[in-house]
Amino acid sequence: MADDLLPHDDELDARLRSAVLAATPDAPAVGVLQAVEHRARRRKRRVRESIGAGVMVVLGGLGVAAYALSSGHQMAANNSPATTRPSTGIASTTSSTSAQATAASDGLGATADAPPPTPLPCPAHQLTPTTARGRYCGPDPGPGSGAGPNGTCTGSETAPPCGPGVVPGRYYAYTMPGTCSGLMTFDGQQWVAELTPPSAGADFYVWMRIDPNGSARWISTTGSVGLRPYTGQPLSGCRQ
Amino acid sequence: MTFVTIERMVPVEADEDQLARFVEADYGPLVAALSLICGDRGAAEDAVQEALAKALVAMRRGTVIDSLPAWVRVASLNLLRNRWRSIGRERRAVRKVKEQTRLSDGEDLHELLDLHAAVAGLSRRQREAVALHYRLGLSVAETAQAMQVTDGTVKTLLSRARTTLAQVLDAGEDDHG
Repeated sequence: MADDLLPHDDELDARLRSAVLAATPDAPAVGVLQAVEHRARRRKRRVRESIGAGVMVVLGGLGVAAYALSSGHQMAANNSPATTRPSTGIASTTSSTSAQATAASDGLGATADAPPPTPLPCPAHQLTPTTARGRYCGPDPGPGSGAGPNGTCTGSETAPPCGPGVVPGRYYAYTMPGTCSGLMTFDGQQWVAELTPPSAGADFYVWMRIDPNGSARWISTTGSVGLRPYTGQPLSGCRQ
Repeated sequence: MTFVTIERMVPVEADEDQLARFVEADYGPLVAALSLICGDRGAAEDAVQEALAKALVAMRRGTVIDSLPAWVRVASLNLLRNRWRSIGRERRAVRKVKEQTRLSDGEDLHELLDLHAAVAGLSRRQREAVALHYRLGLSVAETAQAMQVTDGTVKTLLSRARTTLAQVLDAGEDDHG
């Protein structure tokens, strides 16, 4: 077998084993159980947040559908655009532009039979973006640092967030291209959004992050959408 | 690069006490082995603790884990690969070890630093094989299982790594007499 590439040498093995052991002493295990317990609690919290975000995705999707149906009917009946009222919180979770998403969230409040869920107020100093409270809480995302227009990533960048080196768990300001493909460059690789925008629109700003488990998502004032690595699969394009 | 989902490794018997036993017996060596792979003790500790937290959450949800050490080995290796996916970061850490060695040139070279530098010069998969086989004392089959490769691949990796590392050990012996 491959072991025959080098004549087996028990003495060399023993020397290597003891050298490696001496070079890398055991790490102390003091406080590890508590640290693991703390991490486990954090993980559970993250799962709860993900579920909350998932619920928001569903609600947002329903809102978009309701808005589309409603505006379609109204436009047919009145030959005029649907009226909107000021938004009270987050609703859209699509990859649409801010303006489109705001309109969608308004549509939810205006057309659904049941009253929209009341979002919880944001904590006073929410430093990391989250939608777990039924609305977006956190700092407003700014433009990305890509070499393209508006800070979009071109794929030629060598530094994060467009280029490789993104630190898992950290949020990066990112300019989301308003294209229909849902395709984007992040951390030196291409990703595709799990939810494509209803139609092409202007670029918009989001926070991007890679979770420690390797999955990625963007989050912004308009919602949150998961990303998956682009592996050459056919792109779905805009939904309309 | 292929990453094995941890769920595939979910096996059949669970006991939360396993965690305490693992920390007592296996935590220190596993962190040491992973730090040999990535050149960063902090990243190694982070990966093992995160894998343990994942296991703890899974066990509390009723998932039974047959062999916690094997589970955590695979999970932490995967986490480490994910975390260090950015080749730049890994290269920086490896380069740092090499530079430390260069700084010591002309002085009495520390044999351990030589070994670290030699290991850092191996390919990533060779480092994984060396760390699991020589540091953790896993058999070829166990190493192959942890790395999700065949026994033959592990033998090839170990054989090539041995050739490189033997030179360091031999040089060390020549220096010291």
